[in-house]
Amino acid sequence: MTRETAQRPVSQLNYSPKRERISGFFGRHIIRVIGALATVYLLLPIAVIIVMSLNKPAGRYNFTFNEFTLDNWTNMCGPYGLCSSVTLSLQIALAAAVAATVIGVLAAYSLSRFRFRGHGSANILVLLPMTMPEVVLGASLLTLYVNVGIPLGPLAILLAHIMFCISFVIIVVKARLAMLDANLTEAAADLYATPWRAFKRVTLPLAAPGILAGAVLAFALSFDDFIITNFNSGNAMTFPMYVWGAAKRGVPPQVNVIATVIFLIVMVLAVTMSIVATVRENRSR
Amino acid sequence: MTEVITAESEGLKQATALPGEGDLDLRGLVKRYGKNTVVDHLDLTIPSGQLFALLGPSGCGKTTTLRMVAGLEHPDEGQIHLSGTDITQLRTFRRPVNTVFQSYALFPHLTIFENVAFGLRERRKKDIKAKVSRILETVELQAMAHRKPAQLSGGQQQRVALARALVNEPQVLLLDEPLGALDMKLRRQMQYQIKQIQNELGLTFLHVTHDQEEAMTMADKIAVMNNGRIEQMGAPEELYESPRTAFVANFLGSSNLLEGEVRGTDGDVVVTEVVGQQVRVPKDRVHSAHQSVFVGVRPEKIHVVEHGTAPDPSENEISGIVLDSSFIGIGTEYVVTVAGSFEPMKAFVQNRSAGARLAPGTPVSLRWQIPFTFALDGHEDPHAGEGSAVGPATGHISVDADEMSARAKHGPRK
Repeated sequence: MTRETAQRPVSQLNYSPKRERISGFFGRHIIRVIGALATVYLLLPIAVIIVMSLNKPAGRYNFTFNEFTLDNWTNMCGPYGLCSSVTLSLQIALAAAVAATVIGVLAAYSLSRFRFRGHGSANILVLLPMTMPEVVLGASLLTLYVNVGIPLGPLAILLAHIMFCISFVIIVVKARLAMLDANLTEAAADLYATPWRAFKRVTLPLAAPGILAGAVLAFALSFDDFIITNFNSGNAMTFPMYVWGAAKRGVPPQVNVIATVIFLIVMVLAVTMSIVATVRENRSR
Repeated sequence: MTEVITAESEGLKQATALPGEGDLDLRGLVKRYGKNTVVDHLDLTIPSGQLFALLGPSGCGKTTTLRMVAGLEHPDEGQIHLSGTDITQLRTFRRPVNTVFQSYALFPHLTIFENVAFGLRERRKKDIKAKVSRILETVELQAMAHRKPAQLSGGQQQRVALARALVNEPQVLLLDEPLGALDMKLRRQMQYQIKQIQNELGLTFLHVTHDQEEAMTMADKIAVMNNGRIEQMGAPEELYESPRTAFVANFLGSSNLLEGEVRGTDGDVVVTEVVGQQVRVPKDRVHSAHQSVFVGVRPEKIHVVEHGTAPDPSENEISGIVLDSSFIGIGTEYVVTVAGSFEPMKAFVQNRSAGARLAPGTPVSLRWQIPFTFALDGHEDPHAGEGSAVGPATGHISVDADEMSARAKHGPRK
């Protein structure tokens, strides 16, 4: 094999100086260029939101950058109903995240640890709300609420949000639990831990990253939800509904301020968490 | 160390100093998975203070048996008694036994100290710090107390798993293939260390393994398991020197098994005819109810002499022709064809005397002391348990390749 290669004339080899220069250039830079473009693509909308939060709109519409101002930031709650809608959304999202996480964790735990009758179908059924078109879900929920007699409003919204958040929590937590060695619970039981103690001391702490991710996801989904909420809100107004309503008259720049604040909070949390993780790793090393 | 020896049991209140205290007693245990009977009416008594090995190939039901003792599996039939108390219905966390898992199953989020302290904390014990430090000292891991399991080597993790179980002073310590993941050298060290700890603490160890060498090195007593049943039980020497079934004869070390017929008795020996030659077997080493038997002898018991040497009446003798020989340093392995037998015989000759190897084609006599001969039921599969033993055991002979070629030549024999 090697001898054959050596005898072949140089021109026939799969090699030319020019090609090498090009592939070398691409090899070094193409991935960075693509990466940079993708990042810009991802972050551009957020950048626009932040920039426009510092705009003083010329007319009703906050579409073109007119003049720099901090007024929107100092007068966040200026537009009527904006801050109360944000408060309501935060309250609902928090309650929905907590409730969906508790239910979802328990469901994920039993689905991944126990084999029971209807295990397979239960596995699929819990994911059904996620796959249903939201419009259909919202409309049928409205029918349900009206028939059962639950008044439309914050409670109806909360119940709906918990319902569709559970599926997401289950998926995330189940994925985490699947990564854990099943022997660990057995080892805990072998070391005198009751099933509850084993769950508390072994399963729960090990599943914590998954549970946290599920909770954050549920919070975001609830805070963000418009379609289902729109069907069942009655007179209540959540933040997405406020933005939707305002869009017809022109969205006030304060909406951008709220969005920017949320973005900053998320950023701070993410950075803090990665710092904490790094510190912890270094300490235990 | 004295404090460790005084084992106290939380889950069980029992009268002290009963005969058989600390004994683990399995009675008629059955475990089925669907149609598969994994453990089949198993009866076993493990005396207190022994290092007892359950030895068998994978799938023989040994791990299932251990898990039933731990309470991690529930038997379909039968009872488990510990110190005379029925613990069959007792849940895992109430049983005064602890397990060293094959995968170690160390809690990755807890430090080594907290891993070891886990059982003590669950039982709200006092002096946790002192107890944990002492056991970590025993396994030489004090320096690692504040690390996480992932920062330890495999051997160290193994010792943590051992310490985590031992610190609870269990009535029985269950070891499920505890050394399977370690390399050969480390495994040897750990075999020795575990044996020493067991001696020191005087606890009962139930050790499940598929490694016959490991079982023989460590255990006071071995039960050889096959297909959910116990084939034979006894001290390592007893099992090795006097196997009762073809499975045991082949699984522990290797054996020559030749078809034969019982011809009569002569005092303490049974006279058999093997390939037309007389072979005498001590009466108490005949384990067959039939006329047809397999006459067996271990390869290393045989000495190979050139044909025509004066016979010795205290020895059995079979003549054959050297087919192949291989020098392996500590000795020479001979494969000898015997007229009238499809199977060649294997002989292992220690490298103790000068002189050239016998060349292939040399007519030889294979001779061995009569007490080394044993006879098994002639209806058995003479190849049972072959190839399932692990590890090229030094001092034991393995002529698998030759057997393969011999079988390929003559076809499978039944």
